[in-house]
Amino acid sequence: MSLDTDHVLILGDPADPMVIQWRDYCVAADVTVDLYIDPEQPPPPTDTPYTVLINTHVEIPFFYLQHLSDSIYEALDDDCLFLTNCLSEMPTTTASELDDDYCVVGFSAIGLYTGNRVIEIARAIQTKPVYVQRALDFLSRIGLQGIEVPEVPGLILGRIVAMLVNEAASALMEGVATPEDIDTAMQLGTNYPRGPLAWGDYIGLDVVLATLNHLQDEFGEDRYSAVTLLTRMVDAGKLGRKTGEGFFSYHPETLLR
Amino acid sequence: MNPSFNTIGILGSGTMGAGIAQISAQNGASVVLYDIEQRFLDTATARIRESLQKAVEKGKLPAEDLEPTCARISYSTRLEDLQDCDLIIEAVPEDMALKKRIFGELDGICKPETILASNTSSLSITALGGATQRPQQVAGLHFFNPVPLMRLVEVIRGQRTSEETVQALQQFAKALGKTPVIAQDTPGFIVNRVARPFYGEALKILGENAGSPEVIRTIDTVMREAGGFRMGPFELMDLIGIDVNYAVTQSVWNAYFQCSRYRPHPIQRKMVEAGLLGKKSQEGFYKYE
Repeated sequence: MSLDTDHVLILGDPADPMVIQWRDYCVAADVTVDLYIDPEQPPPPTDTPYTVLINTHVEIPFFYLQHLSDSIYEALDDDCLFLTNCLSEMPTTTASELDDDYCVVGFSAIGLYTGNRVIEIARAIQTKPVYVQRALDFLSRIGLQGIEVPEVPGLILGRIVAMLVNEAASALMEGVATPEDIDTAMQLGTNYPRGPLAWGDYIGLDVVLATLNHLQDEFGEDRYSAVTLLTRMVDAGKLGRKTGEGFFSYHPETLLR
Repeated sequence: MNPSFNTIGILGSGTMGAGIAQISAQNGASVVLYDIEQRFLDTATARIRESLQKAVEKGKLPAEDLEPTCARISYSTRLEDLQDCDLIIEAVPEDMALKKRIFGELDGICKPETILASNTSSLSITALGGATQRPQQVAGLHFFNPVPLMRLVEVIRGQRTSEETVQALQQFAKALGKTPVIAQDTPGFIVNRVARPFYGEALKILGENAGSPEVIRTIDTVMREAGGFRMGPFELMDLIGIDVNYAVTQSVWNAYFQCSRYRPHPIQRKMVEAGLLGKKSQEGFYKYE
């Protein structure tokens, strides 16, 4: 488990800009990395066991674990650190589905969508402290900064930004102002780094919706109900930059990838 | 309709009123600044001069423009002195009864073509229009503090505000070097509504973690460093004033008939009850020297 032998396996969809970012950061740090796209298939063949598994999927992280074949578990190091995107599932819930529940560390990396290198991590109730330190060390090694935060649904930035996007979508739906004016107002009136609607387009409206649904499941409060404009846009496949259209339209040359 | 607004009347000489008077005068308008007592006006006079002096020092205002700018502002405690103004901007305390009374009086005093605008951050523009016989010429013109620095102006269209009035105010804001946005008359308009979760969710996360000071620091750090916000929610609440932020939250929450998205948090109330209001009281979520 020594750091200089890390071998990383990323579970995720290569169409997701976050997956590419994780891979690029690993490659830039000379960390060997493989992408694992389809869990129905065997994992990429490997000679050295994976020491870090990164599950980037926002939607129901355990869906992927359930489908992991025995061969993937054989490909993992005994000490493998399991980093899981916890925007839509609490790390403790994810860990509860695993035999090795002590190696799970949740993360939220929505900053990656806008070029920010700071990642939030949260330990599950079952997590052994040594894995929290390993997560911080690993992030640092690939040029990212980890900040440990309490295990709350959506963690901090994802939760607050999802609620800002939802509120801005609510104002848009009600005709309070144009999308441009809503974003301009938040940038110039309160110094936000970007307008909430444009931010939602960066993150992906499906990711925002999954975060809100998770919050609502955990708390059972109307407060977290996604406004119908948001759910309709996700249904229509208008997810933001990655599909070329969200609250705003994106010409191909301005797309991230 | 005169979009150039040669003479502007401003009611209320506090931070906002004085700031609006200053930038209007800087842009060549004649300003009549009204308040109920001369001592308030004396304070405003000094404050405006000081602010202009700073603008000169920073090279934002030619030194020779200082005196003429000050001279363009006259001060009055008589509402009748506003009768010749093309545009009135009301910036008195956020009290609906007070504002309605003032709008009714102005309606009787001012020329028929005068536009009556309010700098309210949360009260109904439609209700103010309803206090006059000229609701089509009543609109919101919401500046942000500090007025000389903040570029945004929300132009608020009340239920009966005319398109001409909205356009004239938009042009006026642009002439002041501001960026206007247009919002319908809904609680909190754009900024004070859409910003609610920034504070509300941060407070709720804090409440879910035993109100620990460490969590306050963590949330602020994440929002600054991972989110790119200039200040974290608790730092910002301390700057705005926890009491002020709590009042805005309650106002938006009540205006939406207690919709749970806008619900205030008991932590806010407790801080206000304890007199821990933020920077202005030397202690809020953080301690200040």
